[in-house]
Amino acid sequence: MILFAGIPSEGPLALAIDSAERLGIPHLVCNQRHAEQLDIELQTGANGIGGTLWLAGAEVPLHRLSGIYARLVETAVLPEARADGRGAPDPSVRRRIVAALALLHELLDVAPCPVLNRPAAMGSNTSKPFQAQIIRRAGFAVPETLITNDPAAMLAFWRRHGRIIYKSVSGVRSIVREWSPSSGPQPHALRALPTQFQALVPGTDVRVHVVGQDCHAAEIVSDAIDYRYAVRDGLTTTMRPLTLPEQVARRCVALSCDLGLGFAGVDLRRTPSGEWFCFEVNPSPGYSYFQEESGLPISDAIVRHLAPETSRAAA
Amino acid sequence: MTPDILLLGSAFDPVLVAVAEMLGARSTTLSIRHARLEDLAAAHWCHRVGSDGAETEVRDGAGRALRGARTAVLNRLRYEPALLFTRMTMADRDYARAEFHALLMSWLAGPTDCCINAATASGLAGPALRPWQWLAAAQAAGLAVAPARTGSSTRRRRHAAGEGRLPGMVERRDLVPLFADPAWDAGGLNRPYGEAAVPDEVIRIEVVGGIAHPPPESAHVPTSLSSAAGRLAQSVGADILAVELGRFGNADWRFMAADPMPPQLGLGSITGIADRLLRSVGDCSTALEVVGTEGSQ
Repeated sequence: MILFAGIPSEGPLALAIDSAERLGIPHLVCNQRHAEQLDIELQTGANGIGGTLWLAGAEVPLHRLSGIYARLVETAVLPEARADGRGAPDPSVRRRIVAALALLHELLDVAPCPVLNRPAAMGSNTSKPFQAQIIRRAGFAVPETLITNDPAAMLAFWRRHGRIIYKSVSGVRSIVREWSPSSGPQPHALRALPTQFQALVPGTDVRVHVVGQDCHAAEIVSDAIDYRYAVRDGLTTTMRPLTLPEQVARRCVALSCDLGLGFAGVDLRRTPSGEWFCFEVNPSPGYSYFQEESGLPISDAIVRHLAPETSRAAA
Repeated sequence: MTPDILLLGSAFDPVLVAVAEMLGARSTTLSIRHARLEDLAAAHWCHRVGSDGAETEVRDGAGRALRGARTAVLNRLRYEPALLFTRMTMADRDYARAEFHALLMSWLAGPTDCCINAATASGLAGPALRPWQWLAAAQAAGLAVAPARTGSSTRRRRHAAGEGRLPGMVERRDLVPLFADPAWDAGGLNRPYGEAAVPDEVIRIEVVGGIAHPPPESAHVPTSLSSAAGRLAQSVGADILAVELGRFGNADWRFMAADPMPPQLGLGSITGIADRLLRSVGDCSTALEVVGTEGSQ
């Protein structure tokens, strides 16, 4: 039985639940918005860590789960868990929701079944240059990057590379923009905080969703520097499925494996000379946009990966 | 002058102080620098990552390099963001703290032969696991673990295991994530709980660079336990690890907890750290980390 955890109406989770229903794979849904009906116990035992979930009255031993797909939102943003939110006027209920969801995080890290993805495996994405060092070791080219609070060093980097972009160093989502003396942070402003700049890599974006050992790649055609925000800039984006060169596919799988991710969104760019750059690996990819635009069967792959052996063949 | 050894962490960290004293006593020619988190936030940074690897120039306000290609590092940084960027607006401050943490993660990612407690995906100074992750890691490393359980609601505890706490168990709030605060006691019947068995005897084995240092008074502790503690440290990528084991009656020793940033360490471990730093000095020339000569900017 698969456990889906998060907000069931959220795109990626909704698509996976639809796939499980369509493929006839037994599953349970843990709706974070109904966390007051959730209870969890973890315990040590001779055969490892076990436990039980109580979900809307049903009791589920941990060993009955064949896999978990989690898309948890931060507890602090749930209306039910906020002191000023609706639905939880009783502070003790609110505290229990916080405790149950915190324990759910714990369970995701220690559950004996496959989990997409364990929270502990997501840490590399909190630092893009940290992750870039792992990406480089996996065999991909990474863009020349400078993180500095020295205006002279930044200007020298710009002169050397001609076209550069800037973006956040951390996992905080930022829109990738090209820097020029007339747009972007002014050099003197860098003194307040080291900022990340990268040589602009020309080419075509390719998004690869790795599920276990399988790659689902989509080629993205866009005039925007950051295709995710093309519409905002009055530009367009189109996608189509792509078969990756075998070596690139192998690297994507190995990289996801190195990062401890059973499911990953790998951002690649193929240059006109055929070199493959990797920008980052998203450990909780919002794949629904890519599935809907390209037709790739990513949600089916997630569900098959997590299904019990007995259901997998039938699915 | 680029330091031979860089000690990172609080000036009040007893382990850093002890290591610095030991290094000072063993060599009068070593250049040892100490930097706190605040010093790093105020430094001048040029951190480069590219297809050739990573390299960094980091200098203090006086222009002195903090770390060079041959600098051995002992990293005991705890990320305490409240100390940083205090003059920014609240929105800018939160962003700046996340960004600076990300920069430190990358800078301290390696090379691991020159940096004790290199940053990992889970922690700025080595692996930072939570109690249940430690229990899982210990079992995977072949250690038996002490009886323990955690639940989100005491009403389920009664339902699941008869009446209340299991025999021999005591409350262990640290097993309940995010709940070591007074709110615990205000939860009434539905409060979360954590409990673990109480051992008759407890020992702590310290592992430094793969070498286990059992306490001198524990001659009766099987050597296989030291090996298992070493395996645990290796499996989680910890350069330093304090492993707590308990004995229950006549049963075997069982894993209870581990700490990769123990606040205190025994003399054997301090010596082990100093030895490793001294060995590293000069051995890091193949490292990717390089720094320009002083005053080159």
